[in-house]
Amino acid sequence: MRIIVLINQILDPSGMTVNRRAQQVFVNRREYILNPADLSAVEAALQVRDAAGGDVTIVGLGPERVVESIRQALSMGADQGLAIIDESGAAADPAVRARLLAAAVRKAGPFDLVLTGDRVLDSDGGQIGPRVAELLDLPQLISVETVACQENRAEAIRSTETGYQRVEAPLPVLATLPPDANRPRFGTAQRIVNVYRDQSAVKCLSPADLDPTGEASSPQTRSGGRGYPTPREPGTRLEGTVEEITGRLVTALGLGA
Amino acid sequence: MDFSLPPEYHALRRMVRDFCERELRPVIRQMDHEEYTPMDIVSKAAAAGFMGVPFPKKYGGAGAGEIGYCVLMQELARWDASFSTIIGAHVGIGAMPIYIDGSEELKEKYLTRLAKGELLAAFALTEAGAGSDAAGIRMSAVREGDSYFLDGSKMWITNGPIADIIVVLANTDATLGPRGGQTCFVVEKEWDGFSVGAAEHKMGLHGSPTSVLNFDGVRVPQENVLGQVGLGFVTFMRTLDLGRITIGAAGLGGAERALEWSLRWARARQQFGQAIAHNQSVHFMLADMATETEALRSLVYRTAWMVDNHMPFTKEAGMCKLFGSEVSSRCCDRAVQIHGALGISRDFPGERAYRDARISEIFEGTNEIQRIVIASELLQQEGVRIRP
Repeated sequence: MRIIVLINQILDPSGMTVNRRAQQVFVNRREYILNPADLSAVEAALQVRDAAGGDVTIVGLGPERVVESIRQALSMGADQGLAIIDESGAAADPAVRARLLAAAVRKAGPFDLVLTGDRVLDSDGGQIGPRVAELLDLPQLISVETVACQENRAEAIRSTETGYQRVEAPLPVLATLPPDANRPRFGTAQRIVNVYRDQSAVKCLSPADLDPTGEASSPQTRSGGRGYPTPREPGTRLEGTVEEITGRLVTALGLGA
Repeated sequence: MDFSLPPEYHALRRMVRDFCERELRPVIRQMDHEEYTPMDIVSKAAAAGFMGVPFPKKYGGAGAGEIGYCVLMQELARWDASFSTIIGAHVGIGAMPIYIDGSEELKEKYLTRLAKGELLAAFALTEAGAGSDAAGIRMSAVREGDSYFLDGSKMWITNGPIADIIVVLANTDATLGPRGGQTCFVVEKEWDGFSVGAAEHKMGLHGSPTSVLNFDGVRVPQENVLGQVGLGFVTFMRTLDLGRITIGAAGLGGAERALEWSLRWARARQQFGQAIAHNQSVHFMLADMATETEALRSLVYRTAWMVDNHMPFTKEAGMCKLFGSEVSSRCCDRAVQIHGALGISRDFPGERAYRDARISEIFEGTNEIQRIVIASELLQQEGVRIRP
């Protein structure tokens, strides 16, 4: 079983304050963390590997510092790391990002399962998983809590508002996980030291290695600025006995006779 | 000159911090209120490799040296000094003597399992009549054939009730005393004649179990002599030298946390129409806490660096223990003062930290003994030899 996990690195939100009046986000502490949903994907990949054998490759895309997050995943037990170092910021565009990641997955060789987070905490776009799956022509299992592989199929469980769905697809497949899907394991002290002292633990490529013509790197998204949602009017709180509340609710909704 | 820590130590710190937030934090109150030792969390710490941080990889460790071990202890003590004491007594003084003076056979038999946390260790020196006067122990080891028979009692043994193996010092020739007459042994808890006595009820460190250990004719095979017969006192003193640095590291964690609590409360607490952070009296306390904490950080990490670079460090280690324990106590005291009445409430974690900090001025050589160690080293450089 060959598993590839796509990861992203984000600014640690605990180091930020949001000032509504100034319409600004202030960064007090510039520290970067592995995107929480991607961390779930790493844990899910390790669980599949531990059950079915095989190996886990971590693919990260971003500036040089993304190597840190790949090392974190390696210290949890992943087998290989591949970093695509992009200092230009072009990969902030989800279309560019997905194209480069799809190219990296192809470059990483044959695979059975691609996992990633179902959202990135900063932009909350939720686009990367589906876009990469389309580019690689893979079936996609989106926002699933667990993934297990049996013979040539992947089985996953997705929680919905009304219960759980069991979904399955033939391998190879791409699945995305929400940030609270599991409890990611801790790296071990020994692996942390090994991963940092081994200079070749993470292989580095540049976008040009994956996209020599530069075609994939042309952005499709244009930023139209930043804004806050308009504040909402507070709702009305209905009080009283159940009968009274029901009566008032029916009236408020204009359903009364 | 480069004062930055290499990135692996930052990664180690981040992992230990995550561990503490997720695993340790939920049980800290219970540990303090119920004198509860969370053995499940100790096992999880072992799985994360905490027990092998300073030891080389060939013995199942992480190979992170004394610096890595200081990072571990600092972060653990930021959250809970009881938990850092359990780990410190196991790694720093329980397993460490086997690493520094044990035979290859002993290392293979015990150190690899201790470094993986499959076994827990304790270090047994103190007796009813031998505390600061460590050489005055009464416990005896009598040789018969290939074995030694140990008789006596040890007191105030951290990890005593939970240890699987005990590294213990006994007199093999009472007439020679510490210079040739004391020997270090590795004892397994299952051996006949060994028993754990009553647990102590302490002012702080409620989660870290402490007890009497009784040795009633315990037979120890001669392979379990640690180091050379007659030179056990030296092994014990070398172990304590190293242990003193990590008491400084743990003090650093405690002091940092006390400062964090104080900064937060100074911003939040309103008196006389403004936050108490605007009061000069509070500024003075915060400034002193921060200054002492930074001085301690430099001392601890430089001393750890000296150890990892094979330089003599006895004097500096004494300073780490002395200054670390005093800074942590002073910072906790000021944190309580800044918090006012809340400072003595059991709802405030600084109240526990204040009680927990006090013992570090006493254990592993009282601060008075540390001053003697430091002064002896200073005077020895001047050609004056001090005999305690």
